[in-house]
Amino acid sequence: MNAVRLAARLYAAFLHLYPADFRTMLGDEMLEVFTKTLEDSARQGWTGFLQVCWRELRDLPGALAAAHRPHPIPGEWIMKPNRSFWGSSSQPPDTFSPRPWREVWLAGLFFAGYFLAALLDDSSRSGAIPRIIPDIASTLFLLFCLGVLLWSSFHAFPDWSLLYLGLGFAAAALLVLFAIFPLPANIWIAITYFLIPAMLIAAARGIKPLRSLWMNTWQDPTRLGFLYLGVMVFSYNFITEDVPGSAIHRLFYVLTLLPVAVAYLRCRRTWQRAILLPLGFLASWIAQTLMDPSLFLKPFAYAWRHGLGTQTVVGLLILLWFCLPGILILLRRRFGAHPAPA
Amino acid sequence: MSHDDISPIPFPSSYEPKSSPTLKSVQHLSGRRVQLSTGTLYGALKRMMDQDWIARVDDPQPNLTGRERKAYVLTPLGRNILKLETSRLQQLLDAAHRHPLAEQA
Repeated sequence: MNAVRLAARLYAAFLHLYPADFRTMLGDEMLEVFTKTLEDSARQGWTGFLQVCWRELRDLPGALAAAHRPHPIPGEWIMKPNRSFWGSSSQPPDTFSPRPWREVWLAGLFFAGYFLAALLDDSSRSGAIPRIIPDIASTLFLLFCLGVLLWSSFHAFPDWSLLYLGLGFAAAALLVLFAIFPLPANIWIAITYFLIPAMLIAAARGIKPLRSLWMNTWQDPTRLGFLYLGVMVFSYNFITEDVPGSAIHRLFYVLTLLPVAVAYLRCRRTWQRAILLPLGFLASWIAQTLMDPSLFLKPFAYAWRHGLGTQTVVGLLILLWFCLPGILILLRRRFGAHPAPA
Repeated sequence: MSHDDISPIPFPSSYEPKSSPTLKSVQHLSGRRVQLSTGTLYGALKRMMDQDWIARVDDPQPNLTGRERKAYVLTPLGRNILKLETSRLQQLLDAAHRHPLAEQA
C-alpha cells in the first residue's frame, strides 16, 4: 500500500533525529517493526493506520529527548559513587578512545574564539578598530559558550566541553565574588585561581545538571585538570591585563594551550592524559617567557607585588595543581580498594 | 560480561518473530490499556541495554524472511532486578489488600 510505504519513508527520515549510535544499533529494527505494525493496522482500515501514525508522532518528541539524554553507563558506573575516594572499588580506566576530530575542532574553537575576541577588544582600546566590532565578537563568543554549556549539560559534559565549563564558572565566580567584596578583579582571580575547580566540583554535587561532572571526575581525575585549562584562559588574561606589552604577547599563552588540548583529547592512555597537563603548562610557561620576559616576572597581580620569589612559589603551586590528577590516579591505584577477583 | 553468562530467556516470553511481537505483547498484557509507539519501546529497550538489564542476541527462532533478526534476553542482573521489582510490587499489593478499607470494599 502506498500510504504505508510513504509513512515508512517518513519514519526512516525521522530516525535520523536519533543519536548516531542509537540509530546504528536499532534503526533498521525500529523501521521494520513500525512498517509491520502499519501493515497490520492498515488491514483493519484507515482508523487503525492513522492511530499508529498519530501515536508515533505524539511520542516522537519525548522519545527523542530520552534518547539524547545521557544514560548511566553499565556496571559499576551506574552505582552512586562512593563518597570515600579511597574506598571506591572503581579504578580510573586504563585506556580511552581518542575523541573524534569533530570534538577536537569544537575544543579548538574555544581557544580561537577567545583569542580573536580578546585581540579585537585590545585593538579597539588602542583605537585601531571601532568599538562595535569587539562588542559583536565578544557577544557571539559568549552566546556560543552558553549554547555549548546548555548542550553539554544534557550530555554529561563530554571532555571537550570542560574548557567552556571552566571559563563559564570562572566568569560567574568572579562576578559573584566581585559583587560581594569589591576587591580588584585580578586580586579575586589570583585568590580563586586554585579554588575554582574545587568550587565547581563542590557545586556539582548540589546542582543536578552538573552531577555527572562530579561522578565522572572521580572516575577520571584528569578531567579536573582539563577543566582548569578553561579557567586558566579566562583568569590569566585578566591577571596580566595590567602587564605592559602588546595584546598579542599577553594572549600568546592561549595559543600555546591549543596543542595541549588537542593532544589530551586524542591520547589513548590514562598516564598520557595525566602527564600532558603539567607538561603543557610548563611548555606554555616557557613559551611565554621566550616571547616576552616581562610576562615571566609579572604573571599574577599578587606575585607582581611580591617579586620573583613569590612568583616562583605561585608557579610551583600551579604546576603541582596540574600534577594533582596524575598523583591522585597513582595513589588510588596504589592504595585504593580493588574489586574482588572473579 | 560474556554472552555465555546470559540465559536465553526471551523477552517477553511470548516472543514470536513473525510480526511486531513486542508492541503486541505489551498491548495484550495490559489488556489494550497500554499502546506503545515504536520510539518509546526502543527507547526503553536501549536504556535497559545500557544498564545491562537485557542483552540483544541473534534470534534463536527460525526466520522465514532470511534477514538477520534479534531477540532480547534478560541478563542475570536484569533477572535479579525483575525479581526485586516484582517482589516490591507484590508487597505493595499485599499491603493494599491488608488495609481495612480494602477489606470493606
